[in-house]
Amino acid sequence: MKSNSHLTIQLSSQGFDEARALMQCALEGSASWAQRQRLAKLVCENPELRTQWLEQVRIDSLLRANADGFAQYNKPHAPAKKSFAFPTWAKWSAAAAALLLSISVWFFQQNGGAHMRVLQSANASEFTTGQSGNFEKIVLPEGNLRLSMNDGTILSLTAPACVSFEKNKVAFLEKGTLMLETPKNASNPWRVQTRQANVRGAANGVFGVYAGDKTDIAVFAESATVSNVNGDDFQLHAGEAIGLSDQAEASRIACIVRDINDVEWAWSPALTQATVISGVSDNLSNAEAFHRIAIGGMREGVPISYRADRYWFTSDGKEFPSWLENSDLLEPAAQASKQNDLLLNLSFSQPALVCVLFPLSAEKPNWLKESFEDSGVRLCARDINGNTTETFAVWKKNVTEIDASFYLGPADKSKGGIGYRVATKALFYPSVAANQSLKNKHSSLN
Amino acid sequence: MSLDQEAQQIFADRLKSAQPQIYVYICALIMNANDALDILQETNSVLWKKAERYDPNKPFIAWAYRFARFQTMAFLKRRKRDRLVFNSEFIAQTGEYAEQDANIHERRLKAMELCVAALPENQRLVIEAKYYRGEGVALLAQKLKKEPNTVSALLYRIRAALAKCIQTRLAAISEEYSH
Repeated sequence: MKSNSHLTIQLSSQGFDEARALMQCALEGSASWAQRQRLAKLVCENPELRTQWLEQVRIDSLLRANADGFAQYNKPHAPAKKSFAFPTWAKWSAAAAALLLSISVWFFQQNGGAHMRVLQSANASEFTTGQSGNFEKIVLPEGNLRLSMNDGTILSLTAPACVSFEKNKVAFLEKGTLMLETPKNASNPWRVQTRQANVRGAANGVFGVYAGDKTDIAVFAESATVSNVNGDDFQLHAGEAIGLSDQAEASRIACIVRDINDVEWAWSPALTQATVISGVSDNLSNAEAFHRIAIGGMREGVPISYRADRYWFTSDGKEFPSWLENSDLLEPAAQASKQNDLLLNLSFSQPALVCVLFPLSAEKPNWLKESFEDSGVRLCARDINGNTTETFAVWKKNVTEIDASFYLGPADKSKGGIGYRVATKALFYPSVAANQSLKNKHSSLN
Repeated sequence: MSLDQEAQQIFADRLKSAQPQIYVYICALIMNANDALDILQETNSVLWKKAERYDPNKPFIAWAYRFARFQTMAFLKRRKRDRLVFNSEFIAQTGEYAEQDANIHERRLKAMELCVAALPENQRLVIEAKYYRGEGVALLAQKLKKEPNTVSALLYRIRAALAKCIQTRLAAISEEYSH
C-alpha cells in the first residue's frame, strides 16, 4: 500500500471493512462520538481511506440535495414537480437541500419559516412528493402531508390543518392534527405551540398534537415535555395522552385512533367513525395512559404494535382468515397488562365481530372462556429473521346489539403479562369492492 | 460590515452559491450532518462579519473554507470541555485535501446527473428510495428482505461507483467547459 506519510499504516482487509462500516454509520447519522474518533484516526493514517471518505461524503450530500431530480430516471412515474422558494439560484447547486436549509437557518431565522421537503402527499393537491422549499405557513384543507425538515425532524399533518413556522424552531399549530418525530441526535428539537400548550419531544421521540377548542397531546415514543398556559411543565411518556383547556384543566384521552400507515391519527369524527368501537373506558391507575386503535391494523405482515419489529402471521402458515383480515386492532395501554383487576369497557356503534388475541401460553381467564369461543386460529408475532416471539389464540364472539358494551378483564400476569389485543370488525362488512378500495388506500400510502 | 450595496450583493450571491460546498467540506471534517449544520451557521455568521476583508478577485470557496475549518476546530474545542476529544490532525489533513478541488463543484454536479442515469435499474431504485423518498436503511432492508448491514454496504458500493463514474466523466465535461 503506497503512502506518503510516516503515519500511514498498512491496513488489513479487516481494517478497511471496519473503516467502511464506520463511514456508513457516520453517513447515516448513527455514529457515536467514539466511532467518529475511530474513523478519524483510521482516515488520518491512510490516504486511501481519506479519499474514500471524501468521496462518500460528497456523493451522499449531492444525492440528498438532488433528490427531486430522480423522478426523471424512474420511468413508470411522472417527474416530480419542482417548486423552490428561490428558483433562480437553487438549480445551480447540486446540494440544493443543504443550500436552502443553510440559507433558511441564516437568513430566515430572524423572520421564521423552515425549509422542508415533502416525503409523502396524499390527497393534498398543492403538494407533491419530492417538492422542497421554505415554508412560513402551511394550510392543508384536505389530505395528509409528511414533511422532512432540515434537522431530520419528520412532521405529519392531517387536514384540516394550519401551522406556521416561527423563529427558534417553533411550529405554531392553529388548528388540526400534527405529528412530530424528533431525530435521534436532536440538540435543539422543534417545539409545537398551540393556544393551550407548548410541547417539546425528547430525542428519538414521537408525539402528536391536536389543536381545537382544547389541545390534545399524545406521546407515541420516548417522552415529551408539556407546558400549559400557567407555565407548569410536566412530562408525558410513550403511551400517555392528555387534553388541556384554555384554563389549563387536564382531561383524559382514553383512546387514540390511528391509520395503520401511521400517517393519520386523530379524534376527528372522520376517523373515529371508521371503527365500530364508539368508546373505551377503564379502571387504569394511570389516568394518562391511552389505548390505541389502528384502523385496518389486523393484517398479515404488519407490525404488531407501533414501531415494533415483529409482525403478524398465522402460526401454522395457513392463509390469514378473511373474516379477521382488515379488522381494527385495539392495543390496550401497556399498564393494562400489569393490572390484576383491570376492567376494560368497550362500546360499539353497530353489530360487530369482536376477537380477543390472547397469549397462547397464558392461562385463559373466566371472562374469556365464558363469553368468547376459541376460533382455532393461531397467530404469531415474528421478527424479520422469521423467529416467532409470541403466539396468540384468537377467541371470537359476535356482538349483535346496537350500542352494546361489555367488559374485558385482566390477562394472567404469571406469564409475563404480554397482554392481549382486540380485533373488531363490523358484522355487516362492506362488499368485496369496498374492501379492495380499502386495500388500495393502504398501498397508495406506502 | 461596511460594504457598498453592490459589493454586498456580490458577496451574498457568492455565499449562497458556496453553501453546498462549505456544507460538504464541514461534513467531511465533523462526520455528522447535524453538527455540520450548526458549524455552517456559525461559519456564515463569521463570513458576514469578515465580508469587507474578502477580495472579490480571489476564489471565494478557498477563502470560506479557511473560516469553516476554524469554526470546526472551535466547535471541537467546545466539545473538548465535555471530554470529547477529536483528532485535530484529521481535521488538518482532510481539510487540506478537500480544499484541493474546491472549484469543480458544478462539473461534479453535471457528471453526477449522468452517472445516476447510467446506474443499473435496481441500484437506481435503491438510491431513489433512500435519497428521494427518505426511506431509512431499516425500511429498505425490510423491503429488500436483506439485513440492514447488507443494505448499508450496498449503498456504500453504489456511492463508490458513482464517485468513480463522476471522476471518469469529469475529464470529458471539463473539455466541454473549456470551449
